[in-house]
Amino acid sequence: MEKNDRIWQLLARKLTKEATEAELEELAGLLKQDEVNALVAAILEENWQTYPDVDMEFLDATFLLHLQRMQEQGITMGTAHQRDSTVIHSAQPLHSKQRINKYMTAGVFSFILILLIAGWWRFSENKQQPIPQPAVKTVEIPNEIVTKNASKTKIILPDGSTVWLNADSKLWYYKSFGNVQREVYLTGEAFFDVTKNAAKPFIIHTKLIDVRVLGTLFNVRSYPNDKTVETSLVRGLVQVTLHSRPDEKYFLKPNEKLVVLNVPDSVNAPKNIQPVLKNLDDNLVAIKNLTPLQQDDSLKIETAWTKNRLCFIDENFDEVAHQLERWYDVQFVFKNDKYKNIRLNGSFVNETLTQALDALKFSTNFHYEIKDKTVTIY
Amino acid sequence: MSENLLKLAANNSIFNCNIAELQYQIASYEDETAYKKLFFCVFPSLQNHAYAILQSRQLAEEVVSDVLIEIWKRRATLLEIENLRLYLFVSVRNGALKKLQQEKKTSRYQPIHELKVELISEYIQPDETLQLSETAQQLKEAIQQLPPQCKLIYKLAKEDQLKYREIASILQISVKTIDHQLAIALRKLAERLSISRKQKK
Repeated sequence: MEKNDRIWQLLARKLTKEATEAELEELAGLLKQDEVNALVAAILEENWQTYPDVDMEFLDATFLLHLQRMQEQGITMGTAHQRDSTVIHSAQPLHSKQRINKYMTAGVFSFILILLIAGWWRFSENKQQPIPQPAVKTVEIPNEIVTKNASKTKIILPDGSTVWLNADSKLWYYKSFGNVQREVYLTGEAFFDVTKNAAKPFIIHTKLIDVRVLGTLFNVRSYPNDKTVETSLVRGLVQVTLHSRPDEKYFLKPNEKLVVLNVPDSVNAPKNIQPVLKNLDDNLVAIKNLTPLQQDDSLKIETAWTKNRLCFIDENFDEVAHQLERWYDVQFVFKNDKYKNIRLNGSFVNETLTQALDALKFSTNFHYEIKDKTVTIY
Repeated sequence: MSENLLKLAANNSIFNCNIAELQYQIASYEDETAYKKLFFCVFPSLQNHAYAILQSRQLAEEVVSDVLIEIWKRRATLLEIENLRLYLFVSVRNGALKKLQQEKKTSRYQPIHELKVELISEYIQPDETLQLSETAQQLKEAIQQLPPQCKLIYKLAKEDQLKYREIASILQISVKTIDHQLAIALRKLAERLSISRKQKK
């Protein structure tokens, strides 16, 4: 065996604590004569001691599924009944029961405290305003952030959570944000990095769905004129409910997305739609995996826009047109409807509209004409 | 620095779980908290091991879940198991192979070199706001490029902290092969690091 190979064999034994005293000495001797490998060995040794991050929220969600499976087999565990409290205490999953109880007590107390403070605050506010309130109910005007086509913005919410708002979108929230819950409302598309606060769930209301989270990284896409509403999870755990199926809860795990068909009917969906099994397509909702831009790529098309990239894979031209309209602030007109259904792939960063259209045209046979802000496809 | 230490402390509570102690708690007191802790300790490693065989997160999760349900069912006799961690790995391997037969309707045993191995550190999306150091990034890439068998052994030794003879019985190969393959893994990683250093100069 070459001297070089012997070094790595001995180092492997050392790191796995399989090495004998004699072997450790031999390794030290070899490395003393070999400065370059000594340095590399030190790096490898340091790296060996590092452990991967553990995604507690993901583990918690998995444990919930595990408990469900146990229940199906007739095994009940104490925590199985307390679904919500298990989720809420995801940040401290390894504590003993006693400590969990402590946290729960603390949670209840802080909740009461919040109510008391909120009550006092209202009371004192009334005192300071002795002017009689007008008989007409005043409507609270929410904080509202709006983006136009071809623009994006970053928002820091009062709780420190960050929201990237994509083009042609609106996010709003009321003064009560963060009192008991953190509630925001969204039309359009936004990427959320929610700060952890188990006591105050973060809820995003959209036209079709509500997304409830505890502290995660994810994307919600709910444009009125898109075919689907999508919630894509990067990290953590979210729970989605459809307005049309309030009793069903969908849990998403990292790299999954929930796709809901955006049909006018689903707002007042007939009650007779049967609940669907997870991970099964039905006529309204499905859980799918996120699509990597390239194989083994950590960049997913669902969140690519946050990296200033416009991506679509195998989508209808009319769907793509909506995206291009928002991205480039233009309007699309199809002179011939047959082009609406051609499937397109694309990934653009700094391309101009003309460059993008030329690239798309390359694989198909449509023609286009740009006049002012209107793109005509013929 | 202090942040790193915190992280390490947090991780140690996961990866240096005292499995024998948890085993004792579960067997003696039907301790549900200990069971939950055991789940948190072993699930990521076991799921990744099942995934290497099954190539499906969903199926891997089911296999591991089933194995851990069996552990609770047999809690009364749990202390009869000498090495619980090893027992879990072997059960998951057997469960995954059985599942593979059911799913694919084949009885062909998947050779190790055809497995697709993923480390926990790869599967869990790294925090996008945390930038890996250049060296850490190079190492990560080099580990990704290891041949499957080499990578699997590296994973079992490093992430799962298993001994050579334990890895040998899980993979049903000789201790000598483990010794050899791990040396190859480290050599390949070392080569990658030295090359990039030279290029810099």
